Amino acid sequence: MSPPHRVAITGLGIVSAIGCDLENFWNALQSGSTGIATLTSVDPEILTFSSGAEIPEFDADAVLDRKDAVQLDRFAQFALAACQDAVQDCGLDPAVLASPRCGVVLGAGLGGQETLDQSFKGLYRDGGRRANPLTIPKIMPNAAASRISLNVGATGPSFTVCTACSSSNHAMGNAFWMIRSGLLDVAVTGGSDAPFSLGNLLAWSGMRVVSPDTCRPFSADRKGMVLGEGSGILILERMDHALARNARIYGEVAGFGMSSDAHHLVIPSQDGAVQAMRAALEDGNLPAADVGYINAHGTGTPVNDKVESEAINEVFGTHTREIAVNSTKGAHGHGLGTAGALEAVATVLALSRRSIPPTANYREPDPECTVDVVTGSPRDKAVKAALSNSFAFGGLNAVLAFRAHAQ
Amino acid sequence: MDKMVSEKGLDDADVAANVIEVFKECLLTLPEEEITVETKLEDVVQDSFEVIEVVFALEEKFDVSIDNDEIQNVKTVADLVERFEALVESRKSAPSAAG
Repeated sequence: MSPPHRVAITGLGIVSAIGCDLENFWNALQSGSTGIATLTSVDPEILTFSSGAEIPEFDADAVLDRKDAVQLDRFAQFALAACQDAVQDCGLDPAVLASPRCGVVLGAGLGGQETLDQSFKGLYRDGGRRANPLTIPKIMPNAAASRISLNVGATGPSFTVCTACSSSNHAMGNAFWMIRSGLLDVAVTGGSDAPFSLGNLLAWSGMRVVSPDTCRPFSADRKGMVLGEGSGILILERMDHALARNARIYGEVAGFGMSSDAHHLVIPSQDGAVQAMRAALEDGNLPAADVGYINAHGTGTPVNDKVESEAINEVFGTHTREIAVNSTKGAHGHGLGTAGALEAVATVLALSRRSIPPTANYREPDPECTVDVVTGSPRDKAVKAALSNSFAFGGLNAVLAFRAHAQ
Repeated sequence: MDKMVSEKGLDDADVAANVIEVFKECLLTLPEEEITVETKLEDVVQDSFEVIEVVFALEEKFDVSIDNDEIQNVKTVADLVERFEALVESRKSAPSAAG
């Protein structure tokens, strides 16, 4: 068996409430601004919350071919738009993507919610007797991965992972492993979600975990999560392949760890989080002392941020005080199936630009969150390695470890 | 009901005009040449989804249903017109549920 390959990140694409290109996304993160605002896509009257991190300016007709805009649900439109930018960003010869050595692995928590909601309205409210023939291809959670593989011509292993808030991290981790093992040269990976349909939002109301105003990760006055939409796409590439073509390398995927809480459907477990972080370090042969930054799952719910802080302390011990922690969910919202992807882009940019964005909307320290939360303004800090945590409803955890690339 | 005039000024009873209009709306790319009843679907359609989209839109418009087998035999706009004229005619002659 050949030795494992190193895996470079050579392309990034983003569609989010704080920017639909890398520079706007990064500048918004660094300024501590938030994309959370009063909902525009639905009337929130029946909901327990009225805000979300929507992207009202996203115009599929302006950024996608008509065929793609017509045939895809909003969640897949986001992924394709982010993919187009990431593919352009990586500078790869299209022939390298149009190959059995290229795969597409995406996360999606929900699939085509908007289309599903419309279809149900037609049936249950309007008494309709027919469904649009595109309903199933638009709803299927693998629609985004399928369309990207079709458009770039990737004929290698492609699939969609559906593990709620960990979907994207599970997807990127599997893409990473396929390149590391030699199965693929290149992978298009990340995820997307578009949760702003009334039926879905009402279900979130029922969960009683959404903040009535905004998302304040790790802040003592945090009241819950706020939903977000969008997509993050990363182009992963075998390191020697990227070096041979003198590609711009943002960083390296170093390790991937997973665990299952086997504890409770929605209450997070410290043990599960600890196990996943340790697994990511072990998978990447990464010394804990190399980790200088953690992009936390940091949902802004009272329980998550406390349990995650305790888990970080358990894994890193006294080194915890050397680790800058932020949650970018205060800026781009909780992207559910795309959360890990948005946060991977933020983490990789922070590593390569040697600066860690502040946690948007943070107001006051919580004595129960004993980690070094970056607040107020960016912290310029060159770190060797970073973790990006995702801990899903259902107790399925996925942690990615990234390593800075020596320029 | 059949004499309703659509927003585009088309008489619903004029099946051919409606088929052409709906067909044009469902095409991903409108060709330079005019769409007529003689137009072959294969000459203007990029994706088979366009055909089932147009069939769905016409079913909605005329409140009729076309069998799956029949869609396979639709090769030209004229075939669509013929099928939908027949379906509209049989719907008119069928006794309505409301009496």
